[in-house]
Amino acid sequence: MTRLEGLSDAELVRRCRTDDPAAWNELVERYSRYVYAIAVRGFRLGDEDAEDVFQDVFTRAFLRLETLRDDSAFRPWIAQLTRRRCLDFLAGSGREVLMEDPTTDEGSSDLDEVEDAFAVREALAGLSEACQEILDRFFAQDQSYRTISGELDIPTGTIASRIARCLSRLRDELEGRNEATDRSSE
Amino acid sequence: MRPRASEPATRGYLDLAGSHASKAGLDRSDGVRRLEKRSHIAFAQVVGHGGEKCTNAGTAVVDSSRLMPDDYLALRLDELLARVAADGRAPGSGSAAALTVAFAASLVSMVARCSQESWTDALGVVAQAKVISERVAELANTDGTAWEEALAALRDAEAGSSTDDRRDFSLEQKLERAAAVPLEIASLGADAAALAALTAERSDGTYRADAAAAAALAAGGARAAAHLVLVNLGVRSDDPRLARALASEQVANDIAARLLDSGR
Repeated sequence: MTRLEGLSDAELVRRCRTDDPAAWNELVERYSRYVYAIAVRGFRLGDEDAEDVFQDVFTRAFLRLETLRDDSAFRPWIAQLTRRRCLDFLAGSGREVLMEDPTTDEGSSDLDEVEDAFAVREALAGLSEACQEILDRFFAQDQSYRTISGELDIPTGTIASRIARCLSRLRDELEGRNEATDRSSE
Repeated sequence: MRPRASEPATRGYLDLAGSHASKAGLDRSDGVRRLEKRSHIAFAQVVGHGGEKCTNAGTAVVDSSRLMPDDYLALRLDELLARVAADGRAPGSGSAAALTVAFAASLVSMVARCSQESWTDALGVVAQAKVISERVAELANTDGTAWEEALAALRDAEAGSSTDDRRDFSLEQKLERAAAVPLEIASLGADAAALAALTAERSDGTYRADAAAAAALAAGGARAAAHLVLVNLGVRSDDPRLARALASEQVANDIAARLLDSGR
């Protein structure tokens, strides 16, 4: 972990305002996949179009950072910038904008899924390295218990219980974040 | 005109953003995939819907206009069974093995969900069972396709010249794919059995018999799948793929035998 990875968004924004390029680097790193996911998953943009939106969003974010009123609200702010830019892009390209908030047949929004995914990603960062590793291997890399056991040198019979324990911790992290969000919005 | 990374005062920062754009480009697919998959960490299971009571969720309604021709998962059960029983075409034994393991994982999920009041980590098991069930159920479709392609290639080979190298290579590739799918099914069968073992150990006693039954189903699916690896590859007994399939079968069988014995 770099020295900046553990800093809050608010602290990074504050440092950006003092011309700290490393802080901006960290913000871009932290939100690059998020911005890209909104463009691709939420607005169905192709790779090249998403790349244009990506460049534009971060350019605007940098130039307008002074207008961000609440330093801790960087994430909703850049999400809004991205959504607006995607809509502008679709309108400018003459393509029909089907809906502002693309919704799947099941009734859940793709943008909500991106938000959920990002919340999980942030919560994962609050777990131990061991938990992050085992969850990543099982859920993201599709590894079997046997493979995980072999690569991490952990008895096969304990893999499922370790994953379950790590998921409980992840749930605690997420619930803690939700409570904090609820408090800040009151 | 939108600003580009050319204004002198901002070039350093924006170049940095640009370099990250390129970096994101390099691992973009993987990044988005992982984001999606991480949201799959049965987020709802862990945080939201996992807290549902242990009740029947009701009957799903299938929109038949959206079915893929070979999307077995969207068929009604009686239709699926009729397809399995029909002459010749997939789904065959590989798909049946996959669905058996999927049933096993779903049973594990039920047992864990019903034990969550006394078992703190129960929802973590529900999430794993859901993932195993989804992965192996998808393989039911994949196996059908792979099997049909292999059959077609075999027929082509029988009809054509045995000295056609390209045809032989294509046949070999298709047979290997037809074996790779049951190999994965066997592996997931072993995982489902391991999850059943944990669930039997930690769950409410009322449901332990269901956990043992889940292990038995997982073992059956793994055993059938391992057999298909052997047959589809036509390999020698020292082939590492066969060894892996047999190891998965062994793990699942041992667990099932232990759980079934302990309940008698």
